[in-house]
Amino acid sequence: ISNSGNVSGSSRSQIAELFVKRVLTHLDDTDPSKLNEFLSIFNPNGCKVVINATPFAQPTSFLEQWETGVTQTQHALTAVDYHVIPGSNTVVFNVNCKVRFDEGGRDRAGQDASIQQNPQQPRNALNRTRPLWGSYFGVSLQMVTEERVLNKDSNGVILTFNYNMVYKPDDSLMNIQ
Amino acid sequence: TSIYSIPMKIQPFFFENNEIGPSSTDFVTNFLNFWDTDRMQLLGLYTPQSQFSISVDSSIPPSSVTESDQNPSFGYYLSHSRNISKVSSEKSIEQRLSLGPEAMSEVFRAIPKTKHHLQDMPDEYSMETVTYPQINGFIVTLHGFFEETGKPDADTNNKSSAGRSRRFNHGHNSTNNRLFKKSFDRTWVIVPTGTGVVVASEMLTVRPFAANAWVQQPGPVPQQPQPQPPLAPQIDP
Repeated sequence: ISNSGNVSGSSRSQIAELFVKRVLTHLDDTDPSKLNEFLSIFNPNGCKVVINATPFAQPTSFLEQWETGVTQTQHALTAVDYHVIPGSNTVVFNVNCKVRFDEGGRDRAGQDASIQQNPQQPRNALNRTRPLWGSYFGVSLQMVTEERVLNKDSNGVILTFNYNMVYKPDDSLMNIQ
Repeated sequence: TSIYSIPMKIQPFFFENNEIGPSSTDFVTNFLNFWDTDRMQLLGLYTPQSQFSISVDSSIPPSSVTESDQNPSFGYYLSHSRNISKVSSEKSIEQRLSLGPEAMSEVFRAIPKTKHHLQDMPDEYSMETVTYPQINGFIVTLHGFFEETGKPDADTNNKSSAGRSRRFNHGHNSTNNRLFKKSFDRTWVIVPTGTGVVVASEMLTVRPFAANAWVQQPGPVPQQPQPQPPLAPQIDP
């Protein structure tokens, strides 16, 4: 038994990292039907979502804006740490990652955002789906979750989600200001 | 709207309510003043159950990020880093979680002396504060940079960990411990008490220096006026 009260520190660390990776994977998902799956890991009662220091009243409003207003993304995890807060049944995650955006002129669903597609023109899988990635932005993410997430229970566990971009490349088309 | 525009524009500050804004900015300002001048004075903020850990994010930002350090040195931090996406040893993961003031003091003395610039360069810092009802407290996250102004009081890298440090540093032997600027993200879980506060948890990410994302760089005039931050940090003169 570890100092932090973890019965199995090893598996808990691995579960913690896998949970964070799952969150990032959801952020990159381009399938609208997966939205409810992502939403299911946010606590339905008063979850706090802050993106770039902008608060969202509900996780749903953030996720809908993310899904509809942002081009395809790719997150890469660079650092994870977490603390179990004694007596609170909660865990604080401190995460760093980087994110890049599809700058190939397509919206998240892979449709050309500026040119009307010629329906007669055959679209092979390559030119329809391959993103043209820009440079990476840096991201700092803090989450407060319920402790049961470390027992592989991720249903409704996210209590606070604080996602902020911390550095930006000069050669990206993406405007964050 | 353009597909190349994030719907959630970046802001430098968020405070969940106006009550915790001034207290959290006061806390951070005072904390970092002590951190830069005499870290041992901070140990009274921690209980035996308080937790502290450092996580090194050694990923290099793209060269197109303004002022980004393309050859950062993390030699003083790596042997303390609890970045579980890089550290595979469960024993290390457990050992690198400092519990209580005594364990913390060892880490505080083993990392470089620093200078933060909240007072003279407040635009270089960004902060979010959110209430944390499960502990009747709040959680404060600060992003920004510090200068490394001196070697640690206790240089653990000169001892048994020197070989290991080299192995994990991808061959930057002579530059492992170069003092420079670092960017950071720091999160405090704060519980108010009757007379002050207790820090229940503190996590520090150290990463290569890079110009921050929240300051508008000189360039084209934005299409829409930018909203003001809800509350600017209150910095003592």
